[in-house]
Amino acid sequence: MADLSNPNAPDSSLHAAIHLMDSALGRPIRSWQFSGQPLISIGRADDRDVQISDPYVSRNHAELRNQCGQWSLVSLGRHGVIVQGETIAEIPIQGETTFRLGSSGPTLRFDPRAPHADNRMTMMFDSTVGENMFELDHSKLQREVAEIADGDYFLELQRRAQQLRQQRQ
Amino acid sequence: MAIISWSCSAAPNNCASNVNNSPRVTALPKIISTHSFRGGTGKSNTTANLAVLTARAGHRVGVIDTDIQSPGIHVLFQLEESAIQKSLNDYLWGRCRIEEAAYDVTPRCIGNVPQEAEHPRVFLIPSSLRTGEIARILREGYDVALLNDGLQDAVRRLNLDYLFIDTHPGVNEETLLSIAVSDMLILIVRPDKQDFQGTAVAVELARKLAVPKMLLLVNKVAPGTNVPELREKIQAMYQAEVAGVLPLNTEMVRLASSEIFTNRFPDHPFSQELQGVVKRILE
Repeated sequence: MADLSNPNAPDSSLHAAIHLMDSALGRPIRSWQFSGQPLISIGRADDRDVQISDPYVSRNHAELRNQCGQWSLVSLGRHGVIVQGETIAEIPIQGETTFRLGSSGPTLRFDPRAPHADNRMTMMFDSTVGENMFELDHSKLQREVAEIADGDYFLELQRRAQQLRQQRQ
Repeated sequence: MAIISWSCSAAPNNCASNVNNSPRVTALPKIISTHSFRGGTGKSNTTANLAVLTARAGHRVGVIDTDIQSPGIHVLFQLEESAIQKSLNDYLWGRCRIEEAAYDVTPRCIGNVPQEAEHPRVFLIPSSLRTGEIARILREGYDVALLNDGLQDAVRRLNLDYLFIDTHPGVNEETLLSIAVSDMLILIVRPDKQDFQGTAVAVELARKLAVPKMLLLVNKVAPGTNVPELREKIQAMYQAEVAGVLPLNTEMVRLASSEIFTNRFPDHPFSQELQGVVKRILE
């Protein structure tokens, strides 16, 4: 049972999760799970519980605080916290709540009733950038470059560009 | 030269207080091409903002719209179609000299710079918006060598320190020429597989044309992206420097090309990142 006399004491029955949402697809792209932790810090700084490197996120942007079993969301950063289109300073949280860090920042979803998990993260640190996106098709690349670079116009351009640079130096 | 004067009172955020009026360190003028593989990367917007920030650092800057097929950068400088008497097209058809198609847009994008002050100044050479002119270019083509003469003449006759060339997306003759005569190529890319593959072609061609400096600018990066990781991977993929990673910018969308973003939001992360790119340009 929670120790009501000391709201900061660990409470093993306290479980919550925060999800970083993909704004286009509406699904979590990264999640953090917390157990027995009455204070969850969110921001860009490395020591935040939910650390998000994003230029719209302040180093110390927001906190989720649990006092006497009641969660509240508190805005701390200069970019503000937006819930249902309203900029908030502090609001009590009843159930699952979606909020945004700044008017252009990332969207997070807080789930105060998330079941306990062994690890704080339910998902791997999924890169928000797909790995295969960086794989170039080199044979296609060589073919396309050759189509242009082997043409008369390009060869003449190479020659003239060299001349022009020498003249300007 | 075509001169258009605007009242600064119409542009409350464009005061000239944040400009460097100290004497310029004379150096060889630089030609800078901005290019992207596909449309919609924010190329024109980025070019206009880089040009204005460069001018604000105390320089004479030209911007030329070589995107003859789909011109657009004039909108950011609030140059209305009715005000464009002469354009790049007129120069290419031999109807005027290049400097006669240059519009002094300094009052609009910098603010109250005295008329006699040589710097900062921004000149815009727009492409024609008349559909007949665009159709003629597409139908008949033009002497690309003349474009080269125009670029060199613009630098010399307008006494420019920097000339920014806003190119047409993709690879065509004028784009290749713009890249070939440039001292610096800025490639704007979105974190998108198609953009990455297409940009690789431009990178290879620029290397073959021996462009002295090439910078990548990653634009429209989604919130929550691991920026250092993205930067590292793109640099490794192209073996080229990523000079800036620009966040997806909803304020930019709201501004709807109505003015220069860095004038309106000078402290925005987007503007700050562009300031870093300008430092690289001025080096």
